Amino acid sequence: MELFTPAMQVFFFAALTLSLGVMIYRMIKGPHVLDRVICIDAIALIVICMMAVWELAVGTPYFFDAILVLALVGFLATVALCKYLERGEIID
Amino acid sequence: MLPVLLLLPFLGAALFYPIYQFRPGDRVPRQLTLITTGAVLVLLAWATFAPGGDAPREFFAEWIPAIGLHVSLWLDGPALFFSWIIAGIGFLIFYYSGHYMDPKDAPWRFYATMLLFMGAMLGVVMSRNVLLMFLFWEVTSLTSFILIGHWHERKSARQGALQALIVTALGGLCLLAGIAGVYWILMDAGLGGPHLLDWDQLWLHRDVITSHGASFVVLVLLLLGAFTKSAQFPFQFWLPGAMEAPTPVSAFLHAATMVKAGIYLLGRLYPVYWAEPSWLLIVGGVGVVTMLIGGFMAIVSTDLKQLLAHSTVSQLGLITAYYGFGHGLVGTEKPLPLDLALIASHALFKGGLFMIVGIIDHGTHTREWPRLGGLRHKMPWTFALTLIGCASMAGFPFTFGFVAKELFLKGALEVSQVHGAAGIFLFVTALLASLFTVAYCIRMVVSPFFGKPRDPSIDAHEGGAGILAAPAVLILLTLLGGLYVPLLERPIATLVEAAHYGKVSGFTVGFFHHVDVLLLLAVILFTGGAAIFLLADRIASAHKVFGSPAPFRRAYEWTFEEAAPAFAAWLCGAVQQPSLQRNIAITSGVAFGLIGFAAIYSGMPFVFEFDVTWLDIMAGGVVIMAGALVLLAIGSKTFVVRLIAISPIGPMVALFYLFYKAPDLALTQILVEVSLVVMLLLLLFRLPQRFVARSTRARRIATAAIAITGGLIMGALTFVGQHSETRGTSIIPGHPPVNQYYLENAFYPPQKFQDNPELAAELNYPGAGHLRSSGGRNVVNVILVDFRGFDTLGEILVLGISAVGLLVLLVLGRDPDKLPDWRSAGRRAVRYISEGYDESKPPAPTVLRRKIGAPPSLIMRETGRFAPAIVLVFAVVLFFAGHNAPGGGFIAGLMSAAAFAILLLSFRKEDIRRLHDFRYLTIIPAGMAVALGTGLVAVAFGLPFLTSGFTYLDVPFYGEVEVTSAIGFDLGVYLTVVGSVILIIKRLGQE
Repeated sequence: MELFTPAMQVFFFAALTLSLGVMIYRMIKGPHVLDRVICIDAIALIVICMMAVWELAVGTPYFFDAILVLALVGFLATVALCKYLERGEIID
Repeated sequence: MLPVLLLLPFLGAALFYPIYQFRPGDRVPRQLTLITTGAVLVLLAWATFAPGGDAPREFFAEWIPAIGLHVSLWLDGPALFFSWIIAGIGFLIFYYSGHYMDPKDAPWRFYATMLLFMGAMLGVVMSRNVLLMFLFWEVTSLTSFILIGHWHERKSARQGALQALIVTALGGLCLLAGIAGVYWILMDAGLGGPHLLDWDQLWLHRDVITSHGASFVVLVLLLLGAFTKSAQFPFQFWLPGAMEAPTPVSAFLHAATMVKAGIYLLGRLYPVYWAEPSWLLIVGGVGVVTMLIGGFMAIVSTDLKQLLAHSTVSQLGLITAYYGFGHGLVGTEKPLPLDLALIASHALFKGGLFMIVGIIDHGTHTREWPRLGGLRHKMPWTFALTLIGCASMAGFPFTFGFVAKELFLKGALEVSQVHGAAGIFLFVTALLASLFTVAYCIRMVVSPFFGKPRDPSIDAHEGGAGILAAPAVLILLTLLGGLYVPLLERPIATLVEAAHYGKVSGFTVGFFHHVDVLLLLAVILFTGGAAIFLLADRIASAHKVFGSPAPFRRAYEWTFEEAAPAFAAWLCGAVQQPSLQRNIAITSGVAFGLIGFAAIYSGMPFVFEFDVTWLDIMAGGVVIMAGALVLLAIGSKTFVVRLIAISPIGPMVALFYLFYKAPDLALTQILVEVSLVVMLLLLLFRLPQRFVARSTRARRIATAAIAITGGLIMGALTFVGQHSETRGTSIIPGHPPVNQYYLENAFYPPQKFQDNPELAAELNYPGAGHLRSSGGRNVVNVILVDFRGFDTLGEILVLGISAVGLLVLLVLGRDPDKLPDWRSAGRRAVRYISEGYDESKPPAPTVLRRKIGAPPSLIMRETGRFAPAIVLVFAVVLFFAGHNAPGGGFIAGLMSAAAFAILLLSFRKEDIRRLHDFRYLTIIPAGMAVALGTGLVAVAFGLPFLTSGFTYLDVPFYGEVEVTSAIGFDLGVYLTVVGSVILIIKRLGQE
C-alpha cells in the first residue's frame, strides 16, 4: 500500500494552506506589534512543514537542505525584532 | 632567473601585510627592505659576473599576442647598468632612511611603497618589450604619487603628489599612443611575431619606422612621454613641487631613478631616431632650454632642496641635450653617445647631495641657506662631502662629473661647428646654462658653510656616522670615478656598444692632455660661474620683479586645480539626486526597460498557453499570500511593521522555488532574506520611528508604475523561459539552447570515466583546449563555478567592494562635517536618506522597552552557546557538498555569517570580545586572492583562466567521491562572502 497517496498530499497541503491563511490574516489584523512578530515565526514553521510535505510528495532527498537551513536560521528575524522591541537595541 | 629578480621587490612588499599582522616592531620594515634589496643585488651580481650559460640574461613568455604585449625581459647593457644603479642606490637610500626618517612615521607604508617603486623601476629597465615597459612606467608614476604624498596631512604635499601624478600620467598616455603608433606602423609594413615590440627589433626595423608618414607624430608622442617623466621644458614645474616628499624619496626618485626613466627612454629611442633631422632640434633644443631654466631657478632659490630640484631639472636637460647632439666617439661611423657615463655621474652626485641636504636639515632644522653660515666648523664631514659632490656637479677636474661635462661640451662644440645657426644657438645656450651650474654649485658650497652664521638661533650639529655613511659612499664613488678614468673605459665602452649597436674603437677622455678649446671653455665656465654667483643677489631681485609663477605651471593649476573640480561639482549637483528613492527609481526603471526592450527586440516568443496542475494552484496561492503581505507593508505607517510584513516573504518565495524544484535558489533565498532582515533592523536605529508620507500623488503613481512594469516583465520572462515550447528552442540560431547545453555537459559520470579513458583524457586536462565537462551533478553550482566562473569572480569582487564602501560610509557618515569640502550638492546628498521622512518630529518611543540594560535573555544565552557551532558545521557540510548537491561557497558563506549573527544576538560584546574584535575586513581580499589564485593555477598549466580539473576517487566504505579543483574557487567565494556579510552586520551594529 502506498504510503503517500495523492489524496493525502492534497489533504496535507490544504490544511497547511489554511493555517498559512490564518496566519496571514493575523499578520494583517493583529493590533499589537507582538502579534505580528509571532506570525513571522509561525509562518516560517508552516513553510517548513509545507517543504517537508512537498519533498515527500516528489520523493527526492535534495530538498532537505533547504528545510534544515530554514529551521536553523529562520528564527533570527524574530529574535532580532523581539530584542529590539524589548530593549531598544539589537546588538549590545 | 630574470623573472625572479624582477619579482623579488614585489614579493617583499607583499609580505609586509601578513608580517604586520603579528605586530613586530617598527624596525622590521626597513630590515625587510634591506634584505630584499640585498637579495636583488646578489642576483644581479650573479647575472653580471657568472658565465653566460649559468645565468641566462633573457626571458620570454607569451602573454597577450593580440596587442603584442609579452613578458619579454633582458639584461643587456643599459638594462644591466640601470639595474645596478637602481638596486645599488636603492640599498644605500634604504640604509639612509633608517637614520633619517622618524621610526614611527608610517614605516610599513613607506618601505613597502619604496620596494614597489624599486620593483617597478627594475621592470622599466629590464623590459625588452616596449609595452611591458609602459606598464611598469605607469606603476612608477603611481608609487611616486604615494611616496610624495607621504606626509599627507599637509595640503602642499597632496598638491605636489597630485601634480606629479597628473603630469607624468598624461605623459604616459602620450607614450602609450606613441607605442601604439609604432606597432601600427610595423603592422602596416607587414611585420609581426611575438618579438615585434622588442627594443632590438625596433632598431632592426628602424628604417620602416622612420620612413613612415606618421613617424613624426609618433616621435613627438614618445618624446612627450619622456619629457614629462624627466621634467623637461615645458613640464619641468612638477619636480620642484615634488620636493614635498621626504628626503630619501627625493634622493631616490627624483635624483637617481624615476626621472631617469625618461632619459632611459631617450637612450632606447636614440638608435632608432638619431638620424632624424628633427631629433637634434627637438631633443637638443628642449634639453638646453630646460638646462637654462633649471639653472636660473636654482640660483635664485633659497631652499637648498629646491635648489637641488632645479639643478636636477637642469642636469636632466643636459643629458637630454647630449642625446640631441648625438656626439660620438672618435673613429665610428655612427655617433655613439657615452650617455651612460653622464647618467652614472649624475645619479651618484645628485643622490649623495640630496642625502646631504637631509643631514643639514637634521642638523640645523632648516634648509634655507640665507639662515645658515659657517657650518664647516660644526659639520666638517658634511662640508667635505658637499665640496666633493658640488665639484662633481660643476665638472671640476678629478671628479667623475668632469668626465661627463667634458663629453657634453665636446658634443655641443661639434654641433655648433656642423649645424650652422641652430647649432650655435644650442651651443651658446648650453654654455650659458653651464655657467649657471657652476654658480649654484658654488652657492651650495659657500653659502651654508662659509662666512658667519646668519641666524644665531640655529645650533648646528654634525650627523652621526650612520646617516653620513650612504652619501659618503656615493660621493666617494664620484671621486674615484674621476681619478681612475682609464679603468672605466672598457666597461663603459662595452655597455655603450650594447646599447647603441655599434663598435667602439677607442676613446680618450682625460685631463687636459693638450691645450685646446675645451680647456678654454673650462676656464670660461669657472670664472663666469663665479661671477654669476657673486651677482646672484642682483639676479634674484630681478627675478622677483618679473615674479609670477611660470606660465605652464599656471596653466596646469588653472586646469586641474580650479576648472576641473568646479566642473565636477557642478555635474555632480546636476546629475546626482539627493534622494535615495529617485536614484533607485531611475536605476530600476532603466534596468527593467532595457531588459524588456531586449526581450521584445530579440523576438522572444511570448507564448502564454499553459496547462494548470494543482501544483501551479498551490504556488499561485503562496504568491498571492505573499502579495497580501506586500500590500500590508506598503500600507503601514511605521518602519517596524513594514519590516515585520516583509520578513515572511523570504521563506514563502523559497517554498515557491522548491515547488519548481530549485533547491539551490531556495537555500540562497532563505539565507539572503534572513540576513537582509537583520541588516534592515540594524539600520532601524538610524532612522526616525514614524514618518509622514510626503510623497506626492505623481511620485506614488510613478513608483507603482515602475514596480508593476518591472514585475510584469520579469514574470513574463520567467514564464516564457519555463514554457515547454521555448525550453527547447534557442535564441541564437545554430547553437543549442543554453539550458540544454549545461544540462548535457555539466556532468560526466564516473562509469564513462572508467570505461573510456581516452574520452576522459580528452575532457580533462591536459589536452582539450576547452574543458567541456566538470563532473558535478549540481548544474546550478557547476554553472557558477565552472562554466561561468568569471562572472562569479566579478560578483564577489563587487560584494567585497560594497562591503568596504559601506565601512567607509559608516565611518565618515557619522559626522558630515568631516567630509571634504565638496560643494553643497554633495553635502545635501549625504544628509538625505529618503524624502519620506519628516525629521521635525522626534522619534516616537517603541513599544515595550522594559528591559533596557538587562543581560541577554537566558534562553538566548544558552542557545547561543551551541547553535552557532551547529550552524557552522552545517555550513561546512554545505560547502563541500556544493558540486553534487545543493550547497556551495555562497550558501556556506551566508550560513557562517548567520552563525555570527546568532552570536551577536545572544551575547553582549564583552562576552565575545575576541570573536567580535577580529578584523573580518582581512578575509575579503584573502578570499578574492584564493579565487584568483585558483584561476591562475590553470594558467600555469597553460590552460585558459579558471579551467578546473576533476577526477573520481574511491573512498572505502563510502563509495565514489568527486574531487575537483573548483573547490578552491568556491573557497574564495566563501571567504569573500563571510567577510563581507559579517563586516556589514558587525559594523551596522556598532554605535
